[in-house]
Amino acid sequence: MPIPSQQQVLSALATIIDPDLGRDVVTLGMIKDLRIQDSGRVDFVFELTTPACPVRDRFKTMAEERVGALPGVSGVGVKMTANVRSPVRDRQGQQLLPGVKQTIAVASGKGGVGKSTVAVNLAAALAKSGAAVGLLDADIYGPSVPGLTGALEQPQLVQVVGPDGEMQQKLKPLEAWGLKLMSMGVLAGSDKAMVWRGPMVSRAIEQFMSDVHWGQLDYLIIDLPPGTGDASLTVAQRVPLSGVAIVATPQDLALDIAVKALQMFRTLNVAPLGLIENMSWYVCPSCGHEHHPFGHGGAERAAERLSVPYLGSIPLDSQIREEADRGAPIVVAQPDSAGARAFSAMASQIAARTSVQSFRKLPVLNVR
Amino acid sequence: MNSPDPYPVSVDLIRADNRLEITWEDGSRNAYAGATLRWACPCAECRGEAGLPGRLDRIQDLPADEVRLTSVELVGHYALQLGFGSGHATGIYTFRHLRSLADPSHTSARRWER
Repeated sequence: MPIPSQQQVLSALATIIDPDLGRDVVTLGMIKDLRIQDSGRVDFVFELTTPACPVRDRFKTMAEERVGALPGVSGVGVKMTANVRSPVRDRQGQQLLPGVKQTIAVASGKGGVGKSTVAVNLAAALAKSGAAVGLLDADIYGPSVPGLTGALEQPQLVQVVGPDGEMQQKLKPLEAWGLKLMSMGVLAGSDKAMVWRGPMVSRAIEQFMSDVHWGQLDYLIIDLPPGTGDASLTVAQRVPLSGVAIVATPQDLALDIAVKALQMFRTLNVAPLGLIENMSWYVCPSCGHEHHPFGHGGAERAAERLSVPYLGSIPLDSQIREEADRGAPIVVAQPDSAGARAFSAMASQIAARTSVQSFRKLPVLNVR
Repeated sequence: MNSPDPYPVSVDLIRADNRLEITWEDGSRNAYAGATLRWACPCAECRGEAGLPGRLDRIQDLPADEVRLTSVELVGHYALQLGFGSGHATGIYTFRHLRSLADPSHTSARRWER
């Protein structure tokens, strides 16, 4: 029996459409190293835009089935890999975070909605999927990342070679749970209050981006302080953010203010990755019933009203709080718990939406 | 998912002609004279703040140095920061502002403002 041509295999694979990007996987350049042997065996690499791809397994099965159904094919070998695509191409962004492919901000309108817990678990879930992930704690006044990750030691200084070949002194980020971390909490000491005016906060955040040796990262998650002040504005101005995820609790008061944060980022043309409902429901340990202490479905309705994606809900779970107090992200410490599963699903969604964003290129600036 | 704001594909600063050219995502192209941009500077010093008039409200003329474009930088995902020969570079020109400068009829409605 004749073996299929490269074109026939690619045509079969082109029937697989990426649900997020809306185009077929061949056009998107996801099929690499296609080899067809005389025996009819077909091997290729399927390169996803994120290791946290929510349809990873489905893509693999579909690729095997569609190629396997071609006449003359005796076997199919699909190797799944991921290469996070970088939208950062301008000189300004390159200077500030040269090795970072995607920057994702986690923001909220109000404080106390669990934004840092979401940021830490989102980062840990992406790292677990195989991505290189950093977490920048941009909350200068109330840094939570050291406590949530147990990374409390003083960062070291390192010598690195700069873009022009000269030596630069930089701060080495802390490492915990497969993440690179930096926070004011470890620089100033966890019990020291930062009594600072706005411009000092902006300067500190710029230094977290310029003077920390982040190295090569697929994702840098930025945990912003609540509200629409200096820190958020600095981050949105200094780096072309891939997008922002907004955390809210279900009650109207919190949602109304989350909308303000969303409006701010829209004014700054930062893509909203979506709304996350935290402390969404509670399973009573004695009666086993699901309770909704802050109401139910508020964030989903708000997301629909504002035409932004809804990224899912996280339960109010004492396990999440216990692990957080212990300095462990629940996605690592108790990966099978309801909370961890909710965080992992959310991370996949965010990674997928960020991939969509990376296909929008930054403008090219020419001066002559 | 796409923002309703206008978004540029390329920005060209032609110093010899003191002109800035922007090609937008929808394929349209606008050219701006240095003087037009300088007089449209949105910064607080030029425009005034807290109900007080700004510098551009009080003067009739700008010297050549003030209107000579020297640099352009991207600000986040939403604006350009323009530098002029006098050193003035505090204006952050949002894409929306730039688009409406070239075409005052361009007022794409913001989806989220109801």
